[in-house]
Amino acid sequence: MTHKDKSLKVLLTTGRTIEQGKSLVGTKLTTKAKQATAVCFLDPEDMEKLQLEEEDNIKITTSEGMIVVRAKKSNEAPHPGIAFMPLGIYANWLIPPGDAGIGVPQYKEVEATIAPTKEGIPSVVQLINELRKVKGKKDV
Amino acid sequence: MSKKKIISDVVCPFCGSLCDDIEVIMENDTIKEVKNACQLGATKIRGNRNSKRLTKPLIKIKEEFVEATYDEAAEQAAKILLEAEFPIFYGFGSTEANAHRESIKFAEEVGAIWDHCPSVCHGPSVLAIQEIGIAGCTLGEIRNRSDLIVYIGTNPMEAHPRHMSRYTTFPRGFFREKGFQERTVVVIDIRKTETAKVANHYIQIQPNRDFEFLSALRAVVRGQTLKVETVAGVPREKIEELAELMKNAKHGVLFFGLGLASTKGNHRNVDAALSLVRDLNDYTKFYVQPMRGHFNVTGAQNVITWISGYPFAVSYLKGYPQYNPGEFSLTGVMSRQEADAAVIVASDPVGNSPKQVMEHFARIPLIVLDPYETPTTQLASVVFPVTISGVESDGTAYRMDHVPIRLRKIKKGPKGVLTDYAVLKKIAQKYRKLKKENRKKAPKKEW
Repeated sequence: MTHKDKSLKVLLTTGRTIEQGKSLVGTKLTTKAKQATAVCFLDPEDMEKLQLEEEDNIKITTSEGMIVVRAKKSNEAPHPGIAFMPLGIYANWLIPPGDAGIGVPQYKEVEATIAPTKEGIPSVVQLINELRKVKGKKDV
Repeated sequence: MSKKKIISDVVCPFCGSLCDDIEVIMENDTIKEVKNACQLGATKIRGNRNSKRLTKPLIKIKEEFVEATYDEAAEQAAKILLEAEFPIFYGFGSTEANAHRESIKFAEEVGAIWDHCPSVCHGPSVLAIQEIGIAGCTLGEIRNRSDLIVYIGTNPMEAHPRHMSRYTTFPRGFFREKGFQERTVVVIDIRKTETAKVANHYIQIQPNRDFEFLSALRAVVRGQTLKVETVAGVPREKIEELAELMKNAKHGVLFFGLGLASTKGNHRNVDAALSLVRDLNDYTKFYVQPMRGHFNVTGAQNVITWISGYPFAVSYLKGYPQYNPGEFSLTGVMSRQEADAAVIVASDPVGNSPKQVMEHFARIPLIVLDPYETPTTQLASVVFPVTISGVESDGTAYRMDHVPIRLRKIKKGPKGVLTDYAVLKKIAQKYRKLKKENRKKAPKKEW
């Protein structure tokens, strides 16, 4: 198996971290937010399976789309098969709007595939520009 | 000579804990130091070093922002709302109660949906509480009396950093003079979080199995014997041990977070937790409380409830309040591409919502009130800079246990910048004026 073929199915869960919380105060468009939220914490065993080193880039794919973030070893292990991302635009890029009929997004336990990648991590501004390209805009 | 001033008893406007023992040291009207606060609170009060503050209202013309006065921006906002057929008002978790009241009044006038943070957060908890009620108490009572604290699906060490040190675990209380030595902490989670690391007992459960686990625990509390070896990955003995611990507590409390409310089962999981606590009250005093995120999300919930009768996802589209979270919540109306304009106050739903919702925000005109630049202000049509509630303007906020606390004004905001309340009032005045003028201009109907 080549480096390119490796992938792992996980349950993606999101939540708060101190660094994410601090990045909310006026720095949501900056590298501080990118540093705090464009990251995925993995179980060391799962990192081993994907032959990932700390800070390697990974591509996470869900039913909603895909995004590239950094991989980090989780301090909260063992939790094989569970990947954790701090709240923010990067994690939400992957979150489905939820199907429980109560209008609440599915922020936790989303089925996702993780694969190592050589692609770069987009900035928050790049993601917003991506949103600007959306079709069906209403004229003001 | 520099002028030094110490402001004490400041209320921290970050999370639902609303710590009210913060001390701010001012020098020449700038914040020099923030004492007693956690990292999050200190950052909120002091601001990040490279925080990008908004100081002038902005109107987007041909994809470029142009500076404007508050009056010009309010007129543009009023025009957007006059044209809209399905507008939504959203946010409010990080502003004070007067702004909530004014926004609800205005939403009713416009005929809009009014929704706030529970619809992406503790909405399922609110639904469960409406169904079966909640055995609640104040954080003060917990501090003084609780000897058993159970956290399930929540990580206060990172989300509410002073919750354990101020209210639950470490403080000395009236009936808990030895502080943490007289208390037992249990953490139930799918990961061994920072909170789990300082707990006396950690129970790791499998993801999406909360309902199963709580139901089994409930059965054991009610005297049933489990006929399986493990439930949700937890050995039977551990569940029996926890049930005994809970039944034998003198004053227990169960805190739950989105780890319970946002996983498979949603409001049914919370229902199971509330029912467990109800059952435990046959044996001892036991209470339960959701861990609310933003500092005044509980306030917004209180204000909309006393005005409309409903806690969130309220529609005034027909002119009277209707409540149906699946239909009227932000995620619902945005992911189905129904809303055609939005007013966002003290929130960043573009950064905080699922991608389908973000995409619809890019399609429709947005009116945004925020002190800082955020992904939402980037996509906005009209942006109003505002003061930071609890730092640059006062008001009332509700702690997560529904205790209202008066926020303090520590310093002046940037020159000329208004509060959320004042801006909402300004937009509403312009809206009324334009509506009146339009009515005069419109040709009379011939019957």
